[in-house]
This record gives sequence, C-alpha cells and structure tokens, in this order.
Amino acid sequence: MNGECVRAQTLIQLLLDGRIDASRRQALDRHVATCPACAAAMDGYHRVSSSASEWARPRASEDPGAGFNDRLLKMLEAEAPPSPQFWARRSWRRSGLSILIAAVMAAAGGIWLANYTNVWQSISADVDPSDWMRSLAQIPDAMHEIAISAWSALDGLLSSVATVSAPNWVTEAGAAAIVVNAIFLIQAISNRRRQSA
Amino acid sequence: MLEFGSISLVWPRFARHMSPQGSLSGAAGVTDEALFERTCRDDDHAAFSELVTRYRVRVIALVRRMLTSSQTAIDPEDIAQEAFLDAYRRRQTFRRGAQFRPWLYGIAVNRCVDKIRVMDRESTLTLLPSDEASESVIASAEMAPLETVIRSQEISDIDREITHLPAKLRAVLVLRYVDDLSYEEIASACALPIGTVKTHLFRARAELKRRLEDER
Repeated sequence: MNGECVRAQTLIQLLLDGRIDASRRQALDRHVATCPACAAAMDGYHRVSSSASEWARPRASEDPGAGFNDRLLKMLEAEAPPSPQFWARRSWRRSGLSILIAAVMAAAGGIWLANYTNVWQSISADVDPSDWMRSLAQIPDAMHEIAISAWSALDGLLSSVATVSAPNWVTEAGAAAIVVNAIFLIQAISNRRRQSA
Repeated sequence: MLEFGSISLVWPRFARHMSPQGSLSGAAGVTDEALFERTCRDDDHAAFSELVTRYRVRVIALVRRMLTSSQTAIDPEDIAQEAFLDAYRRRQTFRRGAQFRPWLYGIAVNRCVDKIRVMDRESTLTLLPSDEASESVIASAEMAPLETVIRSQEISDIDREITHLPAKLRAVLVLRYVDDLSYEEIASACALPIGTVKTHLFRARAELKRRLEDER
C-alpha cells in the first residue's frame, strides 16, 4: 500500500458519507481504476455501508404507538416541578429592596466609621486600660498580663483599621453590594419580560 | 388525568393542545427546537409529547441497534423512555441555539453505554437472536430472491458482528446510519471532536469489513 492508497482509503470514507467534492472524487476514481486492491476495498466498504444502513434504518414495526407517550406523560406528571433557577428566583422587587438596604448600610457605615476614629481616640485618652482591667476583674497576675496584651493588640488593630481604611472598606463593600444587586435587578426584569413575551 | 365517576379532568396544559393521538395539534411546521423551548419555558408537556411522537421510533431503533441482539434481556422501549425522561429533566441544560436531535440522541446513547457497561460487569448477556432486521429485508419486494437472501444474510451478520465493536465505535456507527446524522451532529451527540468522529467511523467500518470478510 503506497501513499496514494492511504489517501484513497480516506477518500472512500468521505465518499461513503457523501462528503467528497468533485475533484477528489475524480482523483479517487482514477486511482481505483489502476489499483485492484483499492477497488476491492471500495467495493467491500460499499457493501458494509449499505448493509449497515439497511440494518440501522428504523422500521414502522418498531413504533410502540401513542401508548408510549401516555406512559411517559404519566411519569412526567408524577414528577415534582423543578425549582426555578437562581436568577429566576430573584424578583425585581426583592432586588430593588436589596439595593436600597445596601445603600443605606453603606452610607450609615461610612458616616459612623468616619466619627468612630474621634470617639475611639477620646476613650483611649481618658482610660488607662491597665487600671481599668485590674479594678474591674480582680484577676490573677498571669491572666492580667494576658488581658493587658490582648487589650493592647485590640487597641492597635482597631486604631489602625479605623484611622486608615475602615470607612473605605465598609463603603466599598456597600458599593459592591449595590452593583451585585443591580445585576440581579436587570436579570429579574429581563426574566419578567421574557415570560410575558 | 383525574377521573371522577364518568367525568374526566385533564390538566389544562394538556387539554389545550392535545389531539386524540397524544400529539400537539398544528405543530407540523414547528421546529424541534421551538417545541423544546416551549417545553423549557412553559413546562409544556404537550409540546414535549409532540417531540416524543417525532422521535420515539428513531430513539427506540437507536437503542435497539446499540444494544443489538445480544442484549435482548433489556427492553429498548424502557431505555428509550428513560432517555426521554432524562431529556425532560435536563431541559434547563439545553443550550439556546443548539440542535435538539443530536442532543436527544446523545442522551439515548449515553443511556445505552451505561447499560452495556452494567450488563458487561454483571455478565448477564442473553444470546437470543433477533430476526427483526432481516425479516424486513426479506419482506422487501424490490430485490430478486437470491439477492434478497444474500442481503438478509449480510444484515444478520452485521447485527452479530457489531456486538464485537467497542461501545464508542458502535455509538458513532449507529448514529451515522440510524438517522443519517452528519459528522457535526455525531460530534455534538457524543461530545467528541469531528476528527475523532471520522476516525471512529473509519475504524468501525474497517473492523466490520474485516470480520465480515473473515467469515466468507
């Protein structure tokens, strides 16, 4: 089998599937006319393809009739309806309300944290945490040291968050919530339009 | 349908469209995809029933050819019914713009492949010959008697030899011939690249040809 024969095998498959163009068909015919092996192969493939086509063809005797539909529909009726998709569950009213709540929270959070820095700094200036903890809890020395360390760590953390970025990240989270809920709202409205169409 | 004495109550979404044969009236010119979109959007069982009417013979034939005569313990109608049920349950996964026919056939083929695997594992094959395919050829009046007998024998041989093909090759071959699917449709049904479909078809035919020639 030479290169021409290998190519002919491919063209025979295309011929069987009706996917061969005129120029390739001519090339195949020319080769088959001079190559008995490929001519025999083509004849063999034609017989296989023809028999397989006849074998696979659906027959009228295989139709089970309308009873098949009836049985199937009874099964479908017995099934619980599917839960709506996540997007479809988002009503436009709920999305609008979510946007409103997110906007109020973002504004309130921003305002509160903007003032929080000043409030916190005034508390820190008036109270010595060491005295306050000792008098309040009467706790043992070891626990006292731990409590003081924890207090200091919390003080440092809250101060840094409050003074540097806290108002920003709360406001940003609120803005992100507004964007997400706006997407929900658009989706809910388009669902509603599609359903009414 | 609910029955109260002599009164029959049909669920409204059925009653609107159903003809006595259980199919949708006036759906002749409606595409498969439009009907299936109605099934998805409105949960319209009548539209789905019309699709079942259109495809039940072909899906049953596909299942029967996939399982072939060696697995006659399985009722092809049951598998076809499961395939339609699967299609209905998975209707929300049907992509907009996709073709319904290869999608449905893909579900049916996967059902068959699963069944073949289970049966192979359990080794419960019951080797009972099926004469249905050859009977219809014998009944054909177009051929001369000798040619008819030879043809009938060839088809019977195909029915037997195809059981030796791996399930993936068998699936591609059956899809190609049961409803004349194109390469693209087979690729879509089997979730394979088109090049792989061509290779599988070539290998399936070559294997069948070799086996049939060895017998003679």
